[in-house]
Amino acid sequence: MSDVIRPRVLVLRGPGILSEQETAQAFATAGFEVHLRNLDDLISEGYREDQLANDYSVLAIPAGASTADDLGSGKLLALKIQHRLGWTLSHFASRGGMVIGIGSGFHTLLRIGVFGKEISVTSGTGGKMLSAWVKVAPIGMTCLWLKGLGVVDLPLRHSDARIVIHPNRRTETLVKLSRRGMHCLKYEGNSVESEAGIAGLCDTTGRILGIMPHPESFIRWTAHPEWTTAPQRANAPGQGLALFENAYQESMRALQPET
Amino acid sequence: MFARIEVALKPEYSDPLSTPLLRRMEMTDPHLRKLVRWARSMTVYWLDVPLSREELIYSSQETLWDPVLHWLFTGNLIPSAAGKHGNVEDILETAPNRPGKFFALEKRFRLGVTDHAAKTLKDSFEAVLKRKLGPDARVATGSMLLLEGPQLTEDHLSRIAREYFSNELLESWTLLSEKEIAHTERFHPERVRREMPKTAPSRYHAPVDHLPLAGLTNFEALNFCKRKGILFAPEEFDAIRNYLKDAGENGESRDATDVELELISKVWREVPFRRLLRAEISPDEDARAVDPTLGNPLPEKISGLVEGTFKETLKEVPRAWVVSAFENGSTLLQYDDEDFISIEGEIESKTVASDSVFGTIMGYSEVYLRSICGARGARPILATDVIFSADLHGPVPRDQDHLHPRRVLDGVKQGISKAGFQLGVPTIGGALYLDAREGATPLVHFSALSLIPRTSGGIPSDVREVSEGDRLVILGSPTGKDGMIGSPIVQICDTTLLRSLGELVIEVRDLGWNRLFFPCGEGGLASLAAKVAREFGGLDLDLAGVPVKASGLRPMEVLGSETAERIVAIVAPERVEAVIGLAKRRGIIGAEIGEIKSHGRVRIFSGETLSADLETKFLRGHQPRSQETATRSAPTLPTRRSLEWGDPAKEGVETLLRIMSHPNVCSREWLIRQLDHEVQGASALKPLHTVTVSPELSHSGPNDGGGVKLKSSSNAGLLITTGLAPRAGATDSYLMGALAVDEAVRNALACGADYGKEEFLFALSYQFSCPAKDLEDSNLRGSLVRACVGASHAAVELQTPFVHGQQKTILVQASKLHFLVQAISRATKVAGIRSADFKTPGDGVYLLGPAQFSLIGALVSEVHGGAPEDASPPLPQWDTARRLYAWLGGAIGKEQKKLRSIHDVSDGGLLTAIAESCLARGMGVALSYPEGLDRTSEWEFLFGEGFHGFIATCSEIDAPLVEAELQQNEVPFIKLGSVTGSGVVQIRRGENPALVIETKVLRQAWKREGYWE
Repeated sequence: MSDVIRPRVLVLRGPGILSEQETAQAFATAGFEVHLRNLDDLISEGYREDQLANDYSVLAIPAGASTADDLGSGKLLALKIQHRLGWTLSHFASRGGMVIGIGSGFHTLLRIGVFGKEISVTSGTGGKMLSAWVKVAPIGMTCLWLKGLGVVDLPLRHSDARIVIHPNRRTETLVKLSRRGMHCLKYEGNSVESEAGIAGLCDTTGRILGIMPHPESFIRWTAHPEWTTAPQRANAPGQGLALFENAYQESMRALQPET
Repeated sequence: MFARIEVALKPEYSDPLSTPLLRRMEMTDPHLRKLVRWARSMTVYWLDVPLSREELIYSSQETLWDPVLHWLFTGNLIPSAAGKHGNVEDILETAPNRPGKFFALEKRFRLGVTDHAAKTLKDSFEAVLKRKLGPDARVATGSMLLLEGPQLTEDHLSRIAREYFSNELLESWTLLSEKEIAHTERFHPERVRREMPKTAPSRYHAPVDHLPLAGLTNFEALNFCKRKGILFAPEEFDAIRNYLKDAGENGESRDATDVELELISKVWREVPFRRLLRAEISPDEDARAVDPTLGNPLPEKISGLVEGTFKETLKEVPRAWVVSAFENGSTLLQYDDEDFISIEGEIESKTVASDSVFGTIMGYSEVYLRSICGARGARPILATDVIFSADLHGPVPRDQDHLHPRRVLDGVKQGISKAGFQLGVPTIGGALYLDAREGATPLVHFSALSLIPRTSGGIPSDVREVSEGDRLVILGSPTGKDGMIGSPIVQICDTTLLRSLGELVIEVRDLGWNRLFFPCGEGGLASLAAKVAREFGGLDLDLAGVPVKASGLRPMEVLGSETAERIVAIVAPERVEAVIGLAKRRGIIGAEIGEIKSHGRVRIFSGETLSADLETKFLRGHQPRSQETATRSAPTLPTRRSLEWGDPAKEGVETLLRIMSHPNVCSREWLIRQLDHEVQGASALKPLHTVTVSPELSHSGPNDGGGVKLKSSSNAGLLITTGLAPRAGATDSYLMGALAVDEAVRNALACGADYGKEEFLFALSYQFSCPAKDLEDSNLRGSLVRACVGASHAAVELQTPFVHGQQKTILVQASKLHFLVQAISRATKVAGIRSADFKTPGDGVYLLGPAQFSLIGALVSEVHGGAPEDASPPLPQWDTARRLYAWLGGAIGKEQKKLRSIHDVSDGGLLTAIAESCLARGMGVALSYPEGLDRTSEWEFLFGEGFHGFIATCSEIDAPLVEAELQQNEVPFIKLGSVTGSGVVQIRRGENPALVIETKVLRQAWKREGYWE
């Protein structure tokens, strides 16, 4: 077993990132070799994009409250990735890498502009925190993270969960997102009034996913609010694990020598 | 270059500042709200940065401008970032009434208050420009509230500013007229330069003041201390005087320094409680008396309030899983073969009184700080908050310059929400208790549990050892005047820094670089110095080495400064550099400030000057031990004749609806949904059971506690539950203490805790608080003593020891003892965790327990204005309870696993518990009264409260096995009827329906929509 090559994931940690432990646990459960690295260490090392692509199959930007959201959730983290590390995530994806940004990690991807400059995020709840479970449904086949998923229940916890599109370019942006398969996950119910029910976006390759609810918090069935109706399933996996298993399958495929 | 930048959300997006502000106004002052026809906020930045115009434009665009969301108003710096008007008119024109009458309120932090957003902006500029801005760069942040309303006067605007927009302790505000809003003069560099916060000038002080005690009277000496913000009781001053009279060279009397007095006062803090905790308490005959059916009388002498009560429980119920309790550092409990659990608590009212949001964040942060310093470093895994607040219907106490209780409670909620979210700790339990007798300032009791590996970095975590010569390294925010008594500066906790500190602690611990960590929060370096010296024999501390925010701080101020973002690590000399280096890489300032010594003294230096030199045994052991009495006054309770209560068959429905919508029973979903109980991904029992995922469709009901599944490698779950019985305190605080213990234990069992074997982890923690003046009143002191003894007796009866506790004097106007108990327990298999909801029609509904409920102290008596004259108080049956609890906890029998739901019978009694279990799934029940109950007994049965009651369900198939096992183990139970899918709660008296109500009506009452913010 020790000879089996396991794909490696870089899970970022650092100021304002909060969910690195459960994100790391989710990837480990799916089979990854997990490396938790502090963003400031990577900056001081001058860790380059090509090193990232050589070392890791997946980059994970966990949820948090990036620097207490002073300038907008995920903003400072986005600036550090763009300007201090100089990483272009689409280049990483084009070399076979996969990226996931969860919660404010998704906000970081939006602030970087991974999904276009016309999309942003703001509060749909009058600035109030919302901690509740929501149903989300995958759309289309583009996103590799969501492959084979049906409607799933996931926890949502943020005050800024409403994805918005520049009012002057709304229609063409929505058409673009839809046509390119980038609108990959939608809320059923949409209590946060997200534009077109957007709960997740992916890039055109399907390798970079930004997701607002938290799959890493539903790795075990006992996290679900209704699990006590079926205690015999207490040891079953949660529905969120499927995303990380998809990434594992995809990463393993990339690691296998071509036959 | 100077610049002012205003950032406004475009009008199509909801404004996170003005929307809740208007809502708060509507809930608390509807008349004022009607005068405001429109409101909108903007964030304001004042910049003085060494950048060229091009650099400033570039970095501002990159950091502050999201073209989808924002307009920037910058004067002529970046006109293209604004809307079509290029100025604030872009926002004003969206007001519905044009031309209207506009005003603006602008606020900013006062000089000396830490502006965290400004620091973030500087960091962002540096990230974009890839260089440091240097120490001369200055940034300040604030906000502007634009208002429109033709009838708004200066008085109205002043009220809005003071009560809704700003906190004058932290922020200054100004009023701008319509003309000033429209004018661009405020963007002029010269104006910005004038408005930039100025550096506080250094004032000359003698570094250390000396107090010639020998030549002063106590009155003069106490006045000297008062001027310095140091508080002592007169007898304490006598103790200091006695100590110093022969402490000089050659055994002569010597002066005290202000550093020494600050040190002593911080160590001897909480004067009234300190006295009572050390006192020999002699309750008089009335205060000792306890109804023999309730418990044993109080002893004639109690040696120390905690020592003689709670700590005694551990002697009577010793448990091998208690690694340490009530000792230095955290209480440590063995969770499993790999990890310990530690417990921390904090009670906050003083800083909440200053600012409800920031004060609450401070309280939460203090618990977090203490938690991370547990053992050799810990990771907080869950938190609970119990809030006591004034009645929200009460009149606004304007004459006392207080905010409306709703406004303050909203601030507390925001504080918990922000702190929990930003620190990444799930809030999985707690309570909100509203009472007209509470003061204007809410009181928050915080608790946190942390996980600690039994060994980390190759060192066992339960070993507390240091060596002489080990160094003290301070880590965290630089020291300012924050937290000094009498200082106008109120600390705003930097939760991001605190969280980073928490991560650093884990890193250092796992590397094996530290011996221990000490929190430097409450009591500051003074308290820390005394603790370290007492535990390890002495230390030398050099205050000149402590990083400071500004020059000019006196040694006494450095010693007394309190903040929740500072810790001290004790490390071996060869590790100092590595720890400081790692901290620096994590953006945390670190410095070596002292050394462990074995000389039995606390010696504090300011560079070369010795500022304090006190013996450790004097600091921690020589406080005077007083003799205290405790008396008891007869309770005066309102009673109503039983006939006035009417027929429960006729009045039961209305009573039930009143109870379901009572502020202390109705839904807390508005609050729970704003607190993050999911972060860390481990919650296995949430504060609410929810049906049909998706917030707008979901229905929910209350659970009895919170639980987490901590590890993927283990099936075990950890549970935390709360018990409090404040209404019973009006009858007898002994009863209140006993009920609180029983409720905490009951709730844990309802959630699925293991119970009944010595090896099962099941521990209790207490928290109590009251105004300091109450401790001077022997009756009120008697109440407190009785509560502590009642709780301790109950704990021994239930074989669940107290292992931790917290007590504090608080700021409130009315006399009120707040007493609560929390149970920390374990479920071997998380599959055994249960929720309170009825799940399947046809399931049998059972009352488990002796069914001896009482109307005295019950919520129904409050609703009816008094208990019946013939009502008797609730009484425990501890033998029965132990059997029932052992069965529920899995120590005896095996059929308890077949129970599908359990809910504890507490506020509102049995019928309320049944109604709460029906709510989420819209279930109904068909139940029958037990036969032969008289009228009072029917009320008692339906709505009475007391000890040891549960409502449980199990399937029809399993019922015979469950019933047989209950009978076999002599556990009392009554089968009340069954769950139905009818959506109707129906109780029959004989053949006739006596009480019928639809579940959807109950749900409507319980939700009490529109009541909360």
